[in-house]
Amino acid sequence: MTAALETIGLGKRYGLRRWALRDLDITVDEGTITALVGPNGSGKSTLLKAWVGFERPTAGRLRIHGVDPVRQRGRAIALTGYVPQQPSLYRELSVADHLAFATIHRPGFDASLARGYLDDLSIPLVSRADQLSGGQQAQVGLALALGSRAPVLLLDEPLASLDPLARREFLRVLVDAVRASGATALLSSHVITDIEQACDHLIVLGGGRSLLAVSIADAIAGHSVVDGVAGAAVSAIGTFPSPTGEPLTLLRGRGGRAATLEEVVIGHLAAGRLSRPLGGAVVREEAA
Amino acid sequence: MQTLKSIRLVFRMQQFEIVAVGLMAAALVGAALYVANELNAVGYGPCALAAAPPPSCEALGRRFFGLQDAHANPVFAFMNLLPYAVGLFLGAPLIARELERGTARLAWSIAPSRLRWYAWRVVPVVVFAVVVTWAAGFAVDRLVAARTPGIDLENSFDTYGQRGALVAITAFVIVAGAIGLGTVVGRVLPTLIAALILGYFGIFGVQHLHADFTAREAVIVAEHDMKPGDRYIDQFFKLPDGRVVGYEELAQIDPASVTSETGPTYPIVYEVIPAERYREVEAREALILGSIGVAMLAGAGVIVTRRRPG
Repeated sequence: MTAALETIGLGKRYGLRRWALRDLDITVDEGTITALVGPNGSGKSTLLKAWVGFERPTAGRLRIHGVDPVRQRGRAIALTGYVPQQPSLYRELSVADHLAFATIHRPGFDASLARGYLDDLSIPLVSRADQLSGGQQAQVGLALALGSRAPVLLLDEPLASLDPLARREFLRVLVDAVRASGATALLSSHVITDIEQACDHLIVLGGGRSLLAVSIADAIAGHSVVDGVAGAAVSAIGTFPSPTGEPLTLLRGRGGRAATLEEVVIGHLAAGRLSRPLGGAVVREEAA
Repeated sequence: MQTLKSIRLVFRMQQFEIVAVGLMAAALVGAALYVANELNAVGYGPCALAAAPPPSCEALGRRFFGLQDAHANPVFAFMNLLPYAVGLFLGAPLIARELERGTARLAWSIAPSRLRWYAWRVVPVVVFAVVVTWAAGFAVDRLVAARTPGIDLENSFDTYGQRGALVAITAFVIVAGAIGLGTVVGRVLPTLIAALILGYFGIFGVQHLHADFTAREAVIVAEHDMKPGDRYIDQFFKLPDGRVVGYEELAQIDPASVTSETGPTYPIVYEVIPAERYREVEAREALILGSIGVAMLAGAGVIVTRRRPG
């Protein structure tokens, strides 16, 4: 598989001290739908914005299909469909106007494709953006990104403000479109259940670094959970509280009961959080 | 067809400002032309210019000057504000609102060329601002012509800077400055306030500097040679030896003349910019202001290509 998205030693510092991303090496393979997971402030949005040229890296490099978005921003944008956290539509414009806007500014924008997605969702083209619900606005944002027929889609927590039904609908459209076009999608989200349904790969970010980058199937198959604190175990990754408050320990391999994807993510985040005060070492596990 | 669609889209993004500015300018242009017509209808001009004005001229004059005070002066006052209102109202929100509301994120993620997007966004609005203020400048020309019987608008500094093309150029600089500030500040209200202050003092400063520069090109004319359209700079006294001196210098040369009850008896001469140079001086000021406006628009374009979308 070839890399659609790649970072090499990427670092982004705000001010003099605060690193949003540090020494980040990740690769997103072409044709995958990858979830980007991490707590608030872990650098997810910064990473996605760097790929669309909205943030300049302080250190390292990044590529979209081999194109450096810092040096060739126009070419990188042409390869990317970006859906920001807030849909940020022009409130004075109708949905049809947004499609016209994209047609004017994006060479090769497929307005009929975008219109097709919106028709399927019964979103009226004549409605002004400020008359649409949050879910409909997110769908318009997604339709604009899909209409660009970009080989890479970057979605920055587009589900955050949506109700469960709208989230489900959004993901259905996304997955269908990506599978049909063979595009690559990187979706940042906090909602693990949504990720499990829609994505085939997972990247966990913590403290601006990659804590885990693996396929979702491998993530689930390659971890297990035991009750209590098992810090001394060789395969122990991290300890975290269960929903009832009891401590659970995530293990590498099959030493306990099968782990859920949520437990895998939380276990790695807990490990990442624990390891930072001890000198910045980060637990890292790459796909086998 | 595609271009018209594209322009319609830009105007819809700023529909409120475009409509408000259009109505404001249309109302002022209409008022200026109406008052000009009203003044012309009085018929004071021909009789005022006649070698021997008939007795009825006095009554016409009272009506003429009454109309000037009641109607023409308020229109002039509002017309003076128009380039600032148009420039600020259209320019300040243009990019600042895109950054404030986050629509720049959407636009810049769709458009591979931010510069092209910027030009698309800015050019129609700037052209609109220039066209409406050009119309206003033309209407003021008509009003000045009606207010000043016998004036040659092509050769007169009367109402300099507040009529003709300079009205449109002033609006252009204000709109360019407000757009530029908006790209830096990224919020509408602070941009509006900053552009109001900087725009006023900026235009005032440039006009003042240009007036100082133009004054260096002034010529001395005798009192009887001074024309109504000349631009007055200063007044001097002409000594018998041909020297031209100011009041203070005269007080040193001939103290008795300035302290006498009748005042200095030397012939008064005036330093003026001849009325025939009106178009040339106007064009130079327009060039200076226009260049500043173009530089600010170009600077804003550079900022757009480099800044974060907010």
